Amino acid sequence: MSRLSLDQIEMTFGTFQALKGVSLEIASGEFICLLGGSGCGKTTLLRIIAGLATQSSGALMLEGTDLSSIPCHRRSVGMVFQSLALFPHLNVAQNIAYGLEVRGVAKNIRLRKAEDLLDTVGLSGLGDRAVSALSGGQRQRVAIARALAIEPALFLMDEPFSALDAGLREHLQIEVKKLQQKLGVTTIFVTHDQNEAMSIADRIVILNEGRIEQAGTPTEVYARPATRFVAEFMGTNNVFGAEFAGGEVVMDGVTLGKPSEAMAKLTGRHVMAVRPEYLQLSKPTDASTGLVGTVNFVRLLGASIETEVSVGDRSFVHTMISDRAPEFAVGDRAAIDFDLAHAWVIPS
Amino acid sequence: MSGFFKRVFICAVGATLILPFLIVAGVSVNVESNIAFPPTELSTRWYAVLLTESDWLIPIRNSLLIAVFAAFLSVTIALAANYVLWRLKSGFGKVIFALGIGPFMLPPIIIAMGASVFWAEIGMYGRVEATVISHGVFFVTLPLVVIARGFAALSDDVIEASRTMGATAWQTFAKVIFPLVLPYVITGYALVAIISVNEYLISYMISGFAVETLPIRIFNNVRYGYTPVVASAAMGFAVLTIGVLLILSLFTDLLKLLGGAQD
Amino acid sequence: MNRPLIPHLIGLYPLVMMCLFFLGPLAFMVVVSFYERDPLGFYNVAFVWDNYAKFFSSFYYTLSMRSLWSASLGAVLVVLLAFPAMYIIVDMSRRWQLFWVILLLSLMCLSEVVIGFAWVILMSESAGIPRFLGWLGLWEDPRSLSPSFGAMLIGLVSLGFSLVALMFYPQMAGRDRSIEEAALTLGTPPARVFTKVILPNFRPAIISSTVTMFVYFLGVFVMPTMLGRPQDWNMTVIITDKAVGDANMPLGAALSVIMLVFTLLIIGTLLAASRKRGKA
Repeated sequence: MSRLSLDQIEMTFGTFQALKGVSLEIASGEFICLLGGSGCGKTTLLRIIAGLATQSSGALMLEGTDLSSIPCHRRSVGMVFQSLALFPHLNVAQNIAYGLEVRGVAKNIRLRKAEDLLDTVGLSGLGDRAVSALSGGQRQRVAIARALAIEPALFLMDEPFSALDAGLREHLQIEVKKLQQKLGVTTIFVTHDQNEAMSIADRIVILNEGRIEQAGTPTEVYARPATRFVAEFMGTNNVFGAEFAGGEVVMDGVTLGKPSEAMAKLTGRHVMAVRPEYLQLSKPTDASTGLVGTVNFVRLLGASIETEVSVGDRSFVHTMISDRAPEFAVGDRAAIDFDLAHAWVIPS
Repeated sequence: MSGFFKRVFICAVGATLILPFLIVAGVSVNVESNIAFPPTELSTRWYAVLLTESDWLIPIRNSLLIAVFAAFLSVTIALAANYVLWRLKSGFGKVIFALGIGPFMLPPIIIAMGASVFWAEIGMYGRVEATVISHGVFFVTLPLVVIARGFAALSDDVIEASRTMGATAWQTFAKVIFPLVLPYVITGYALVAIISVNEYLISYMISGFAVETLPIRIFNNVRYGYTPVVASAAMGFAVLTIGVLLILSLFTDLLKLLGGAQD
Repeated sequence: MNRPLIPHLIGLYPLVMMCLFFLGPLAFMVVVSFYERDPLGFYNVAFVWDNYAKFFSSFYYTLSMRSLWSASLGAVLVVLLAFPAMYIIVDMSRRWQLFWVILLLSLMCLSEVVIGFAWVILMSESAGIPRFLGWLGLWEDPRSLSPSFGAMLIGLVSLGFSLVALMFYPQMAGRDRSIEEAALTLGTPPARVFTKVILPNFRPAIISSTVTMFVYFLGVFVMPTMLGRPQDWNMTVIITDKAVGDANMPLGAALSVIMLVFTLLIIGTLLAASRKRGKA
């Protein structure tokens, strides 16, 4: 049975529709990432789940109980805010123990709990510090410990790492993931960074203009995007339209080869996506009949080399492991090949 | 706090702040020569008295004259102090700035008393120049703080950019810094002018007998038997003050200026 | 090399102006406080403690206590009203915020004399609240409500309200609202968020604005004279009365010096306390 279920959630601010019929089932212990660009409604959805905002319509159930009538302070949600929102007038231990204090837990018990949590997040012995005396990463950990202290039914995080530098962010992503696995708490994490989402989520929910574009495991959304938006949003991708007819796939008059079995039944025009790592580049010969274009950009990305080839109006991106020097330079002619078995047809 | 309670509270506060002026407005347009509300018959006779009788015209002229010059003096001091603090960012600039904050921290009576003995000693007691200088110096805190916001918004990069393009320090000040802080300077000027026009105690203690300003005139009138002219003078004040602030709000973002801007 | 020189030269202008016309008069006031009164003119140069000695009498003791009482009561009342008001105002739409800011700025700039006069009218039996209550039949025999201690207090509060409110404005508008939301998600009932989170966070601002208002109310002249009875008058009224009315400048100066020392002590204590808190 799913722990949290959202059914047709709508949210309107004035004339602006922030959420349009969002439905989602979240299993117990699952780590969900709400992913999307700014203004896609991901934070609004999180705030509705937390009870900080009320949906215009739609139902919200936690283990069969309707949450709509339960105010924020009785929902038992541990939330980490984008600004962290640590209480400046309380020290580290008091911040962590705050949720227990308002629940009337005895002082010695709640302070012991705070100590335990400080150990868990690797801040042993810092309980007496003022919040202002901590580094950025330490504050993150205090905010996480404070949210977990109340043993929440749902653990919510709103872009908690967006202000940190890349190294520290990656470190904390790993820590949060491990902690979540250890505690088994149902977690909803909002981010705009698809790499972050890929690396920590059990399931990614991609939102665009207030709608769910796709909800699936990182592998699913990466390899089998449900919409063109997802195909383009989840990292670099080659997305193009092609004609399926007579057992052949044709794009702009160029035959791309025989379709795989799964594609064989398709006819008409479809949108396809091929990841850059599946393309192969070669020096064109006079006999080349496939896609031939001109290299217009080459860049090194550490582990890989990215080459952009323009064919007519279109542009293709190719990546390969950078164990040798780039074979192509800007201005070179290049022939593009790929196996249709690696191409994904976006369901229309 | 529930929404309803909040609304009742804030409306009550707003009403209490505004109500006295509505009554004064009513009194000022009443035809009767004793103070009464509600008005029996509307008339502008008290405004006519205010603007024609020299009893009232002289204080009005004095007040405006003092305000215009005091505000100028105040703004020049504040601008110089801010420029120095911004350039040096050091002890000297901070000392000057702290000196400028000083008058705001002390009860006005102390400042008024000090000014009174000072001007008496150097023989300028009762002179309008004395009031101008004292107002200019004592109200420096407001433009100081307002102009400081302008300088805070000024990044060093802009100045360095101007330098790299070959401008001298003076050209940089005249062509880059001054235009950028000008809105703050104007706001500071307007605030000092308004406060100077309204100030009572310092004007009274420095030259109350010789240079009668409008607040002194109103106060004396209220204390020793009054007519509705006082009400019309008070209304004139209120309208002038609000008018200047409204004009100011058209040119500058008052909310941002007071530090309340939100994204 | 001449770069630091020019700013220093420019700095001389505000420095000289402030020293000559702000610190100078204060210093001279201290000197005058030791002079003798000259019944025919202002004062004679002397060095006597007489003016200070006068302060230690039962009249000035009662007067001091009365000044402290009305100033502290007014300060507490005005902060008690302005703080929640500002808390509500900063959540209003931009338009209403602008309305309030202009209203508050106007009141801040508006003369004590005008505000005082407005209240005199509002409390008078011929035009104000008493007449209205009489007309409603709620008050059989309407009398003027001023001068009285209550009227003076209302005058002080309406005078200081705009100032405190505008002092709270930047911090209140710029506060991180997610702190209040965090308190909610951690289980704080909405009614308690104000006392659990907002008040403690604003404690330093509340204390400093209360002290500022206290100092300000010690020095008001118009409200006590317009709205208060003679037995409500504070030290400021007496200083003005002695210095201008009786032309006894040395006594007025001595009383001002005592008030100055007292004010500096309070400001010093406040600064020391905030510095200590900053270190902790």
